[in-house]
Amino acid sequence: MSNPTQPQSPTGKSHMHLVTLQPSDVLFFRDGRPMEGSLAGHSLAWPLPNVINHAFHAALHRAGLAQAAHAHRRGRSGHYETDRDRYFGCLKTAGPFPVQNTTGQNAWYFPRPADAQQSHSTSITHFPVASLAGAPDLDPRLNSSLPGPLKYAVASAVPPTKEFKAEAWWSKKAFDAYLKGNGQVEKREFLEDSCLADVESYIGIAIDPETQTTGHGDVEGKIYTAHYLRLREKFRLGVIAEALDKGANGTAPVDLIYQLLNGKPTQILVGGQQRVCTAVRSDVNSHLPLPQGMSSGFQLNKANNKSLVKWVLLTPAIWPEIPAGTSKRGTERQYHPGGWLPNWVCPETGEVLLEYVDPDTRRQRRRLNSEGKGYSSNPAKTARLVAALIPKPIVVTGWALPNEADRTQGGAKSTHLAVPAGAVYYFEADSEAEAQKLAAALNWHGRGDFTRIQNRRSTLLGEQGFGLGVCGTWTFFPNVSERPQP
Amino acid sequence: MSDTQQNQPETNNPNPNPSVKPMQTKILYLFTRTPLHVGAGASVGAIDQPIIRERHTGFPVIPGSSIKGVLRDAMSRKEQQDADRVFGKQDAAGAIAIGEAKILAFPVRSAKGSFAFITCPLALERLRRAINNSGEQSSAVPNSGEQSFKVPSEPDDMTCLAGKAVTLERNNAKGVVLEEYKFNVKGDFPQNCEDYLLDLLEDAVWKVAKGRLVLLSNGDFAHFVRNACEVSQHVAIKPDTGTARPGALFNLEAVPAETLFFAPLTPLMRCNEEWKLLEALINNNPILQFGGDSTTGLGFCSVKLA
Repeated sequence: MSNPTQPQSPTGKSHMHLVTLQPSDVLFFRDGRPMEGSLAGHSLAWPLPNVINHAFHAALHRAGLAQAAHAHRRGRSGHYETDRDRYFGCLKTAGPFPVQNTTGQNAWYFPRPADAQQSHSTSITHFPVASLAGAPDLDPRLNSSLPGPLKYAVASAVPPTKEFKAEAWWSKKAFDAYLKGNGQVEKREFLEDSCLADVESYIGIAIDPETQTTGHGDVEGKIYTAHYLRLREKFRLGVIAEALDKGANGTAPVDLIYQLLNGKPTQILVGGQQRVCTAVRSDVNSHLPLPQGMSSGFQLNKANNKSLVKWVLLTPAIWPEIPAGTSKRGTERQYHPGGWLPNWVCPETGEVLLEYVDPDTRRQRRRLNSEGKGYSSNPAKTARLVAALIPKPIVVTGWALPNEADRTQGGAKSTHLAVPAGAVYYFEADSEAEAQKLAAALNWHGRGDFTRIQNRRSTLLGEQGFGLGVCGTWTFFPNVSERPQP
Repeated sequence: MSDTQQNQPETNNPNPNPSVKPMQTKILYLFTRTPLHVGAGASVGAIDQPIIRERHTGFPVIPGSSIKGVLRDAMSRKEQQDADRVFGKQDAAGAIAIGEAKILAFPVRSAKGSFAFITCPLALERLRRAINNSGEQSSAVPNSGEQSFKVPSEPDDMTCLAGKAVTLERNNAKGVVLEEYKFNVKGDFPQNCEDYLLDLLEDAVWKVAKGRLVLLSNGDFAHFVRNACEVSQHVAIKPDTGTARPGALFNLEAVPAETLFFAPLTPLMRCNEEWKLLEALINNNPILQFGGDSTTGLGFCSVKLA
């Protein structure tokens, strides 16, 4: 819900914008790992959300928009410089997602959920197991090696196969059908990686300007391999971006994305090696092109009268380890292992510690946090994490220039392991009403009208697009006769 | 229903920021005077030293890093400080983004007229996009002076639109023979397109392309640029005997002479006088050498910035 004190977007239904990025040629994305000799670094992957956010941040600076923008202080965790020399803290992005452009129409694609592993199908293949095979009376939690608060293991109902490889990308239509439990969709709604882009490897080598030779003198050993991403002709990087700046010196708020991409295709740099993309902005005239999660109608587990909610990540999420200590208000802060376990889930009981709050209350809480005052929260603890299906983590790194406030020496930022998109978390809620509250807290759209992103449930880098997810419902592992056929 | 969004460039513009100026791309045209070898490294295939190609189309490309290195070298021979300003140095990035060079026209053997220049809608569309700074517009290129062209529709495989200098006519049927393949001519190569292309370069050999341009399907064009590049065999000679050194035979692939590439060069926001330095370099009509084997005559190109 928009704040009445803020101006309406010039033409769209929210302050968010849809932006497609079309590369001029290849793109180069890498992380902080070495890239020399035979080590190509992590130099080819679908770009992470933070990379695209940084591209927009740099583009706003390059466009000179800082002159009239609100300035922030440097620092973090309540320790701030007095000088204000940071800009564009209002920038929020989501994506990139693959977008297929066909005769002017854009179709968005999303990572395949981890619990649907069949080719050209949205059928669920992985289910939480209610009881151990051959030992229905044993508690699966107490009699297994499941980590932490988990109650049920997740098992595949189809045998493994090397014959079919499930496509990595689903269209919105396929994703919505999956969430609603609808049947088959057309094959064209599924795409493999190779449909979107190709990998190209080049060898780079320095040439000694004196001798015009390689491998000698100052350039000895200066050889590397780099992997590049070449999008196919019809594909773009799709991004949802928002930057409503409060303006400098009390001037009227300014929509920076609109200012940057003011009505015509604009070139911005994306990724490494100053690679150029053409950015095309469009308004959010109807719903955002993201899958829409379930808000009600969740399955009921008759055995314990719980409503069954699952949460599927559309983008990666980072939940760091939180050490025990004392908060700024002097209250005790409990240890949380993070990693695959969301920081808003109690590591001992699995209880969900989130509470659904309206946007105004959330804004007030952020301000209290920023001022170091904190606030009292009283989560209902009416839902519990019971199972999880987590693919291998992905590495998120970065590089920072030095600054006096919080990083006197520049260099590589901390490396985080992120839960990848497609991960599935399974919850049991005490009732349908509590399940609906949980869904409102987890769905990217909250209880909203699908025109803006309400929830980013990653502890870190949420504003850069981490932690977007959608809710569905789930059932237990089926009997043999009910299992899907490969 | 698939949720789609239509890209409509903004027309209602109540609060634009006039200070935001888009980066203005210019096009660097490269016309090979001698065969060009930009190597992809060693290979285990039939070609020991292949050239770099796009993965999905097989079109030869010249990576932006190669172009940047050549331009930097040419400028640093005159003034090292200028080269550092334009192309960057450690802890100071360059002021110009240099894209890879994509192929626009490729020479092939023709039964009539000795040789033809082939192109395809995809190559022309890419040129249009680079000029237009956008991949989302209509197929019309904005006027360049008094000229403009539309990208022709893609002909069917084994058919083409061809200039008269390479078109054979027998029994009221028209065709061109490129290498060992015959293509049925469905019409003339579009005149406005030919005029536009011929005006891109002043190189005298490129002007010979008049009447020799042939528009093929994207697939047929890809076949020729994959299979009609030059492959030359080399072997090391033992100086004492004057005979071939055992195991020293290798073959090397090269894009033929008279191939036309184009590369987008984009001055970045921080670019001020650097662009003029680059223009001064290229407007002097240098013959620049790209790729490997410069001492054996490969890679000499005419260049033009427009």
